[in-house]
This record gives sequence, structure tokens and C-alpha cells, in this order.
Amino acid sequence: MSMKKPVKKTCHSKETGQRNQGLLSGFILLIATLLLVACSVERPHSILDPAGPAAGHIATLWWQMFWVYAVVFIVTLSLLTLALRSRRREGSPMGSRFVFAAGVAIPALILVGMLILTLQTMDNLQATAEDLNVKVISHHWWFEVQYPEQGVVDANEIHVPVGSMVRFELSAAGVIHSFWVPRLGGKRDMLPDYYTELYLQADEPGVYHGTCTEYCAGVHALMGFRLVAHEPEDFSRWLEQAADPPPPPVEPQLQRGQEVFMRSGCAGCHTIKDVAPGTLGPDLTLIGGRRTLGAGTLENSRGNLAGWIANAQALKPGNEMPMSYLEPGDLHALVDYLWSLQ
Amino acid sequence: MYRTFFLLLIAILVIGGMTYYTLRFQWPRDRGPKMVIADGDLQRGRLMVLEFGCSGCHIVASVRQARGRVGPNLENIREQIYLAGILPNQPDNMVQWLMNPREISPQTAMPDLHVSEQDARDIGAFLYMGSRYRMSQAADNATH
Repeated sequence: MSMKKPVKKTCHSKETGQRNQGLLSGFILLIATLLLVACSVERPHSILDPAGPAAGHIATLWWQMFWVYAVVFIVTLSLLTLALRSRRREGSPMGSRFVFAAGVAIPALILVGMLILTLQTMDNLQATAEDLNVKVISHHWWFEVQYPEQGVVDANEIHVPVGSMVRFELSAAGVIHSFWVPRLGGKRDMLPDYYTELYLQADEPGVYHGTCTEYCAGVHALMGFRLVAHEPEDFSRWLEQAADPPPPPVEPQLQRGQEVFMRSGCAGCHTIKDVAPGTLGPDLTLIGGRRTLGAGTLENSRGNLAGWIANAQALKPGNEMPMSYLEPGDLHALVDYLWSLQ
Repeated sequence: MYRTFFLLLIAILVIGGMTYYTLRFQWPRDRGPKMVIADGDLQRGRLMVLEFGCSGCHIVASVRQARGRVGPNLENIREQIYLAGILPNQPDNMVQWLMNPREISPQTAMPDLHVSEQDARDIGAFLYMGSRYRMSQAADNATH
């Protein structure tokens, strides 16, 4: 009996040693991979790359939680390892006081602390004064954007000046959607018949990805938008241009395009300022200058625009725009005309 | 003993023969002609497919976003005899077609997208690779 025991023990510890080495190298590999991924991939959606005060508060809270819970995780697993490796005893070596303190009291304290931090962050997210009002209404898989004071209507692209607090008035036509620009702030639900508010500010010029973050059936996954932050003078120039209706086309090719737009049914659903009044689909007054097509589905280029007009169903299945069977010549004219609306 | 040996031999012959027949005559393999645009940059061509919006109308091998259903599927364009139904399928014709489709075929629905000659060579080279693009990239990575 006394001969056997030490032999068994050395054998056991050797095995665990090897296993620990394997675990350790696995862990190092995992961390290295994560770091590499974090460095090499562009992150247009990452909340850890904040570009505004609201997102900054949220990122800070995220890191506070990460570090606190990382410590808790490591301590817990260390205790577990200790428990598994130490030899069996009749009574508990630490007593029930330890279990109460580490198992109930400390977690409760940590959770209360985190609640306080969270409430503080939520309080910091609220602004009271705004420099610009923007109304965003979500539809079946696209976003309508209105600047009520300036009389501008756009879709799937929001232009804001850098360094200004923007108040978004959010609502939905139909089902519940949710509005989120990860690099600028938190999410806010968009409800039918009841508007919600969100205050966002962008600190650097750039194009920020936004998305619907409440499952709204169908092609929810392809319902996004871009938020473009300009320098203030660029923004006022954009606003001036956008407020003017597009000049009537002069070139015969563009005139033909406008005629195709009116004749082939596009005008039934789409608005072009002073040309067509449809309201079922996105406003196309500024379509040529937009960055994406189909609410963030495709990059906007002439080739993609032609493909989208001809058969949008293949690119964003189930969206409300029907396939068109235009004569090729009409299609080219329509693409040229829409491309000219910048 | 001989009997077992004999049966085993027959089994090996039958299974081996079937395997040979399948691999030799029935296994899918590359039958298309080799279409090569030597100075085309495949990786750049792939990016151009997205940038010009070829992907809005065509299915293109090795481009996940290219699921357009407006023009023909281009996955096996290398095996086709004609381009756009009017040009013999040759690398030079491919480059010309990508650059001015409406000049070559006034009735076509494919728009002129002001593609430069180099862009067209890159796109053409990439389209001709078809699904072999992945393999070529893997081989490329292995040699580097």
C-alpha cells in the first residue's frame, strides 16, 4: 500500500504536466490568432473603435466589464483547478464562511457596482440640446431619411456635420426595426406610431456603417445604411445642393431616361423631386451620389445600378421592387438618367 | 485456400476495374480549352468585378456577392464558343467586349462602363479562370 501510492502520484502529476503544457500552448495560439485578426481586419461595425462621445461611453463600460469579469473568470477557474488537484479531506479546508463570501457576497457587490456604472453610462448617453434634427422612418427593408427643417428627403444614407449633436427622431412604417450605428452609439428601437429619440455625434469625418438590428423578417440581413459625417462647410454645401430639385435633363439620352422612368412604372413607387411623386420606395432624387444600392446591399456603381433595376430580386431576395423587363436601350437611358441625379 | 485466393483476385479485379473506369471516363474534369490572358492580374480582376458591378448582373465563380440574374452565368464562360452570341470566344475578343459591348452589339443590355484595357485584361483573365481561381490562389500561397 505504502509502496504503491507514491508511484501512482508521480505518474499522475507527469500526465497533468503534459496536459497543462498542451493547454498553455493552445491558449497562447488562441490569443495570438485573436490579436492577428484584431489587427488585420477592417472593422466598420466595431463598438471597440468608437468615433463619437456616446460610443466612447459605451466602449469604456465594455472594457470595465471585460477586465472585471476577466479577473472573476480567472479566479474562479483557479479555484476550480485547485479543488480538482488537491487531495480529498474529510472537512472543508476553508469553511462555509469562504463559500458565502466568494459565492454570494462578492458577486453581489460586483453586480451592484456594474449596475451603477451602467446607469451612469446610460445617463451620459442622453443629450438635451441638438444642432440638427433628422427624422428616420424604417420601411420594409430600407430607411427613409428626412431633414424636416431643411426640406430635404433622402434614403439609406444620412449626412451629418462633424462635431454637432444630432437628434434622430425614429419611427417605423409597419413592423418594429432598430437603428444602430455601432461606431457612434447605442441601439434604439423604431416603433410604428410612436417615435423614439436617439442623440448621436460623430467626431471625425468618414462613412459609418449603420444597420437594422431588430429582426424584421425577410431580408432583414440586407437592411443597412451609411452615415456620412462631413466637415461643417461640406455639409452645408451638400444640404444646399440636396434642397434644390434636379435640373430638367437636356441631353437626349437623359431625356429618354426620364421618359422611361415615367412610362415604365418606376414613378409609381419612387419620388424624384419635381418629377415623380411615388412614396412606396426610396426617394431617388439623390440616387447618383449615394454610396450603396438596395439599403447597403451593393456598392453604388453604374454596373450595379443597371443590374439592380433589371433584377433586384436576385440581389436582395424578397424586397418590394419587382423585376423589370425593359428594352436594353431604355435600360441604358434610365441608368444614365438616374446616375445624373447627384 | 485456392478458392479464397481466386475469389479475392476476382474481387480486386472487379473493384479495380470499376474504379479505373470511373476515374478515367466518368470523373468530372476540366474539358474546356485553356483560355489565358497572360498579363492579366487575377486578384485585381476579382476586385474589378465588384467595382464595376459585373456582380450586379452575372454569376461569377469565386465571387460570393456575384449572384445577379440579369445576364448570363459566367462561371464556365471559358467553355462557351461565342461571347454575347456574336463574337468567337477568344481572349482578345473578350477584352474588346468588356471595353465596348454596345459598340460591338448595339442591341445588348450590357452597359459601357468605361473599362480600361488593363482593367479588361484583368477581368477577362479572372473570368477565364472560373472556379479554378481558388486552386490557383492556393497554389500561389503555397509557393510563397
